[in-house]
Amino acid sequence: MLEVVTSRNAHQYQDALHDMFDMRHRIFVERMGWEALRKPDRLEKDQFDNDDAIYLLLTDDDGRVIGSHRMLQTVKPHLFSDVFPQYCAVKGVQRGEKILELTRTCVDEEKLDKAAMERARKRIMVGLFEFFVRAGYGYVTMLSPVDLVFRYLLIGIDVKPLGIPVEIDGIKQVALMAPINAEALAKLREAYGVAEPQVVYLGAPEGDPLRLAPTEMPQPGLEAAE
Amino acid sequence: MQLTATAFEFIEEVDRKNDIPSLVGSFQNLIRRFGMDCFMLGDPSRPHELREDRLLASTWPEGWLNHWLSSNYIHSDPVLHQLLVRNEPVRWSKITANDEVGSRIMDEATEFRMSDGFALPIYSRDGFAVGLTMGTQHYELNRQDEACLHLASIYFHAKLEKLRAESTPRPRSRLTPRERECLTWVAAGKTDWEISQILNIAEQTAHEYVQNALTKLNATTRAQAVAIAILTKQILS
Repeated sequence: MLEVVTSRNAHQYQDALHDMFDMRHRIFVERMGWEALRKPDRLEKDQFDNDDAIYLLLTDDDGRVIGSHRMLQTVKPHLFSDVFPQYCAVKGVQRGEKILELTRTCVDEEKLDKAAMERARKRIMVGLFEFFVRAGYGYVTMLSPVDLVFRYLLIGIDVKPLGIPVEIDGIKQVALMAPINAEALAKLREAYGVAEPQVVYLGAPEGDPLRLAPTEMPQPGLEAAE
Repeated sequence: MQLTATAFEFIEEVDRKNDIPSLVGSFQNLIRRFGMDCFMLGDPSRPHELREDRLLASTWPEGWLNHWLSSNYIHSDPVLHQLLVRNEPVRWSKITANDEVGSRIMDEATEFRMSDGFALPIYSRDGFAVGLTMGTQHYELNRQDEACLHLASIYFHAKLEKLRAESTPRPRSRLTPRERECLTWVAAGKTDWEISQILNIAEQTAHEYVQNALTKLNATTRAQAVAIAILTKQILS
């Protein structure tokens, strides 16, 4: 299952969020060596982990957190706008109500065997697309390894570069933007063999600004809003 | 910044390309803007299984491509070797050949006006590294240009794979004796006019034989047709 967590239902997810920050520290700092993110309490958390952040937590059958995404609203401060706008120097930082910036995507490599990892990676990507479609977002921006661009394109995800590739800690990365819509979701479901809906948003108060449509059909008015 | 804009325009343009020849043509135009003369896109990861479908596209000089293929240089080309070992973009002249054959290949490439170049690895659909290598006489790319050319190449390759997958794989028909004859003369570097003189046929007829061969072999260039015909043993190298 992929569980949506915002500041409005976070009270139900205190343990899960703690596990997520712990997992992010183990993966990004201890495993991948992003020393700038190292924290004394071993919880990888920064100024963007605030009330505006939206998380997707991938949980296994026992409810353990085995993967996560962090999404930031591009109309608010986010990494491309405030930390590294230079990575988007050619096309500019893309901001809008329908655009979310994706950061800190990870799957817990230490808790999963190879087959489970593969499945988790696919589920977390399909779940991301499903979330975008059902929540009415249209575009994602993200920093991605250049080597993944070819794979995105082959699956049919129409990524476009926003800037020139840069080398960060020995890995060539590039800022990308991609449309996410029902068609892209269908392609991804087919490519990854993940047919069923994955995403739930539990415990949000009545009238919550974030609503998930019950189905993946494009919502009326979405295109008009672009 | 001029070259950066060129690469980004190409990435947009790729979306509107719906056939392989025009895609290859526009990539060739792009690399020329970057000071490269020609390119070869192929899969060096399994040299013993080199088949025509592992040579994806090429604008290498015909003479060089034929020589390179028929001499089995795919086994020993230092550029391809470097791509497989290091798995990152590399400038030809930064590579030192570590054996005699390697140095010979580099020297011979120079004779075909490719004294330097840029090569990069790309993952193919089945996870093998595909090599894209481009040759030039005057290398003027800085790091930023190289990064842009790398990025544009990924879009070229992805679209090429897509168009190849879409084109219905029709059974490849054998060449007629006349088509084989003409293609053999193409392999020897003859023009349509020269072939027409040799075979005592009209130039237009010679041209048609060669074009038919290209169609049958699913080739986009004459050099590629020759390469495929050699590899499928329809003409002698």
